[in-house]
Amino acid sequence: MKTIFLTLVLCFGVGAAHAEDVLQAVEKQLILEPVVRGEFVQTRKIAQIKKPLVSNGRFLVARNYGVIWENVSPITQTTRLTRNEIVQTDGNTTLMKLNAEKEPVVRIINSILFSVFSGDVAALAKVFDYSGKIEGTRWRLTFTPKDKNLARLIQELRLEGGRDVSSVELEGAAGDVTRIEFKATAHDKTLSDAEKKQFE
Amino acid sequence: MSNPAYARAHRLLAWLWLLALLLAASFLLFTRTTWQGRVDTDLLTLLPTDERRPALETARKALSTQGERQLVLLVSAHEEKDGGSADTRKAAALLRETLRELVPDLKTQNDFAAFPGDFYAGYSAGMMTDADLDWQKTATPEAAHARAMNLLYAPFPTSGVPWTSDPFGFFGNWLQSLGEASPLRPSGGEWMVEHDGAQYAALMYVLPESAFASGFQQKLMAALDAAENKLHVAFPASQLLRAGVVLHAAAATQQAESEMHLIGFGSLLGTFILIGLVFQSARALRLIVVSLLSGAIVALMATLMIFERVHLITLVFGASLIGVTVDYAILVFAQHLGNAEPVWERHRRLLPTLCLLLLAPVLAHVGLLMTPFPGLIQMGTFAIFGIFGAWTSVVLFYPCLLPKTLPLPKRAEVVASLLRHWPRWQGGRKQWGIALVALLMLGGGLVQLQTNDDIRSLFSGNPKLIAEQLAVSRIMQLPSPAQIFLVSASDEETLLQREEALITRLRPLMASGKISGFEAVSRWLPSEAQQRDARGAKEALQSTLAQLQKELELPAGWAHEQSASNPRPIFLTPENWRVSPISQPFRALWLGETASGDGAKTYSSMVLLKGLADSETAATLAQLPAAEPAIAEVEWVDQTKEISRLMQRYRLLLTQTLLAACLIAPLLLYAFFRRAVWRVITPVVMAGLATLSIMGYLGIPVQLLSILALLLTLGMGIDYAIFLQARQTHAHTLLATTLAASLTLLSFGLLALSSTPALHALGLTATLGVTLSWLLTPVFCQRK
Repeated sequence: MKTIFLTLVLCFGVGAAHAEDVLQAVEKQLILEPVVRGEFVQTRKIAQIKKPLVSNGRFLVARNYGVIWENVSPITQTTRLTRNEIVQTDGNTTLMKLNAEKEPVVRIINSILFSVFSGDVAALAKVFDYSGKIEGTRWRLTFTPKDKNLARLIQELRLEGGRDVSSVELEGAAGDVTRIEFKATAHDKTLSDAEKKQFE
Repeated sequence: MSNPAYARAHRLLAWLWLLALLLAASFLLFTRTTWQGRVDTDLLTLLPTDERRPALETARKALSTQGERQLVLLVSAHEEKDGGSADTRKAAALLRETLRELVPDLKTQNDFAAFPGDFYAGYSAGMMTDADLDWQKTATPEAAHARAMNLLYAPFPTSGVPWTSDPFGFFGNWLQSLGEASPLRPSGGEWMVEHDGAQYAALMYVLPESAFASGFQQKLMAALDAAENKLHVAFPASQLLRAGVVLHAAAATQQAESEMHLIGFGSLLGTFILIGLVFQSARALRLIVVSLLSGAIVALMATLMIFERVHLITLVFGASLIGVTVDYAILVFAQHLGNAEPVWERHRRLLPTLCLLLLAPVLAHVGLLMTPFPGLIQMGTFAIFGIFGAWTSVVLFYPCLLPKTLPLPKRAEVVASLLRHWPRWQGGRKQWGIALVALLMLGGGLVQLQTNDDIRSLFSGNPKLIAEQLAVSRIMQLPSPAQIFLVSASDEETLLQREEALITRLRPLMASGKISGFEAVSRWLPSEAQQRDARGAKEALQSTLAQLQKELELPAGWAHEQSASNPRPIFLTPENWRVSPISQPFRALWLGETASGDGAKTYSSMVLLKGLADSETAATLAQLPAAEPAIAEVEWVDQTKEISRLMQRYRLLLTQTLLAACLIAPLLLYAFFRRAVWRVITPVVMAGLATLSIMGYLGIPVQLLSILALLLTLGMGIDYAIFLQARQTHAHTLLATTLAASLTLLSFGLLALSSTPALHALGLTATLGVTLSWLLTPVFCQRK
């Protein structure tokens, strides 16, 4: 009886220590530069829709600026995340605009999404419980929201990668699963002037 | 009636009165705990009620009942701007734990309030924002298709509603629009709000007992203080902001209690010392103690019988009555000094004067009964019965309690002789000259007189608490109860439609920043007409829905389910809404059926405003209903202004009463004094005018309570003059009035120290008035 108890305690102890290590190990592997550019392929599965919805495009993540997410096909759509705003445009018309002053949740959503796309796993660990494992240079982390209300938007978040984040899988509350795979990821120290303009 | 018969009848009455007093006293003593629990500390009960507008009264009651039990604590650990808010959350948890035993906060009770999306999902077909309704009217099928596709491919969900049940995002947008109701957002297990770069956690409480239940109030305040200390030890940089009626009530209770003790003990002590010094007689004190006790017993008994609860302010004011009620005993007592006439003879001769003496102060306090302020009415009732009780005891008991003769003490003789050298009005040229100069100076002050009808001249809160309350209101964007729109209609549906029409007209003011927001039931419960419109809009998008169904290979019947042609249209009804926990914080806004005179039903609700920019905006809002036929039956109520208007109306009414009293009193007194009546009236009127003049010079504005104080002064001043005049310039009488006036002065002077503006104004004006009438009365007294 005693040994069982001890094993259990040890298991929990080890488990916790292990999780801590995973996060630190992943952080060590990741290249954290101020600017990341690349391409993505998004595959979405929705309960009532048989065929997966596939789209692709470009992305740009810049520390202190935000995220530009350009969907190129099958629809053209740009989503821009800054500290205080989420703006979605379809060519020239604004489809959606959420301001943090009016809707404080924008700040929380934006900081989570920025962390996801920039690979800031330490920041994610503040709002999510996590677990993960490392196999050689590859790693896989699973995040579940600490907050019940955040869980209404995101049930689970799964990140995979090596030196870069290679894919993100987001499980929405309604059971929809969105998988984003990154390709041709490149790092940089600064933004070009044209890119800076995009954030204005 | 012969003297022995007179004495017999008198003794019988005295015994009966004693019996009544003892019965009342024992009743008060035995039911002590019950009525002490009914001592009211709510300053708002002193505010006037408006019987002509039942809906408004219901609104006021709803606001105060809801406010009464609310307590909000905002805590911030004041961390760095981007450093997160972990410490703030810990600080909130610490406060919650410390207070949990006494009052669990709302989050502890049922974790987070129900998520609106869950409740409204069943009614989602009817929930659509005005902006989306407008969009649909002009949207082409292509635009509608593009909108749905954009949402389908968007990189992340923002509403939490699955695409298949909200392909155009209408319901998601509507849910999002609810967010403008409050800046509080659940995050990391706390309700968080950001303000000026700082993160605050909000702890919300609904108190199990009224803010005015004194036992609970004290326990809560002690617990709050302890929690705050604990917080500052754990997080030295933290800030705690508190808001709630209970805080103000506790501060007011504490203040009123200490003032009541100060005024009560001060007056009693002063009375005993002065009487002891002047008369050097323990017998004198006996009569005074009896008359004071009777006054208190009768006043308290009558107030408890007439009113449901006794207000603490009444007791504070009552403490100042000591100085007034003690007068009768002193005046009667002074008559006995060095007087060898038989007691019963004296009594019979003095009785008419005593009756006259009762009349003036009682009539003066009737002025308080004429106001619409429940608190002032209670004060008046208390005073009238107190004076009556003390007077009756003096009249009935003094022949029994006083010794047959009383030598005039040496010290009293000194005071009396000092007063005999008081200047007298003789009408000489020199005196007329002085009078003219005095009158000119008086006029100089009168022309500078200002008035003030602000509600704050009656009550003011603790400035620190008010500052905290304002900070909390600003951070949490709480609506103000001071200005409201009162919406009425003959049925609930029309009421909701009227609210919606009003809100449509408020939107431009919000866009231009004149107001920051509003709170209304129709935000949470759209009218059936609005819900029908939303269904109609979806019906119009049927072709796009069918196209999407085909393209995406959605199950057959999906498009049909999305549109309004649903065979069982479910509307959110007022009943459904009211019984759901989602409506809990807003139920107070819904006044429901309010009484109406002519049998027709009237339903009412309130629309509250947030962040009203300036008085100019208030004026614009006040004009709004008149300018728009659709909302013609909406009423703008500026409560602060209404009360000020009411105070002004009653200030003018009481001024007229005062003037009338000045005219009627000489007519009544003419029966007694004949042509000498001017000697009674002149000093009192001059004292009143001089009081006003001094207030003019000092820049103290005249308000309702100052006029009331002048009315009281008139009553007491006439008493002094009657007594002096009736008893001629007897040394004893002068002594008695001097003593009586100084004790009255002491009481009112102490009342002027009160930090309740109403009592302060009353005390200050009365102190000035009584001093002046006491100084002037001997001047006009007839020389023997």
